[in-house]
Amino acid sequence: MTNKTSIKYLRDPENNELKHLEAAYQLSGKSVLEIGCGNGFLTRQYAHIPRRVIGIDPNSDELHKATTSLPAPLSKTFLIQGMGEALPFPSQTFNLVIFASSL
Amino acid sequence: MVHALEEAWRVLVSRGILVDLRPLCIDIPLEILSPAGSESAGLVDMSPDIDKDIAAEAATQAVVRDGYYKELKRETFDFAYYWNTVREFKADLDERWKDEVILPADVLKRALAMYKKLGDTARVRIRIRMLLAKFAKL
Repeated sequence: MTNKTSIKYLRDPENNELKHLEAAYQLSGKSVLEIGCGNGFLTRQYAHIPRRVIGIDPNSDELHKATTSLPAPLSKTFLIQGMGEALPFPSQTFNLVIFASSL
Repeated sequence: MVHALEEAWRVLVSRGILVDLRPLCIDIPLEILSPAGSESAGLVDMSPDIDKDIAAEAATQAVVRDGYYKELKRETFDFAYYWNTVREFKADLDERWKDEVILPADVLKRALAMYKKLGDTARVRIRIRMLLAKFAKL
């Protein structure tokens, strides 16, 4: 059992989401697009591993939270406001696309 | 959704990988934890978003059927949330998930009683079932 903390809740303290993502795909050296990055909960856990990470989300408030929560410096991580239906990237740009609770 | 999956196909490199990572609308126990272990107060109803699950499944099946992707892997795992008290859990539910989750009154009542009995050592947990599906671009 995890110790009590002063924060309101703990979300996936076992890091199961990251463990399963890493088991499913070798992130190192890859270019990753995360569609529906939200407040960056998942992004900040793996952003240090790939060559480049772009997170996209339609919600500007959530993106602001993501920006402030990412560990600095992460010069290879970019957060963009946008929709999965109209991705502002050239064809054949990413090795991995993650739909993060966004389908 | 299908259009977003087609857009993802466009921006993926040849043989690139798509991962669909999302919670499933499967009812889950509201657990009260103590140093002695965990006990369920009853099930939390996750059904309000079931239409989203069905639509997402239909969309991924459509793009596989249409030859955009091949499914490589499908698995589920637990994604846990913890709260210090039942009241904090209920407040959070009302604030963030009120349209997605139904907490039956009898389950809440039972959880409050169990928590009261255990005192400050108790904590609250739900474990959402997550889907990870992996697809290769064709």
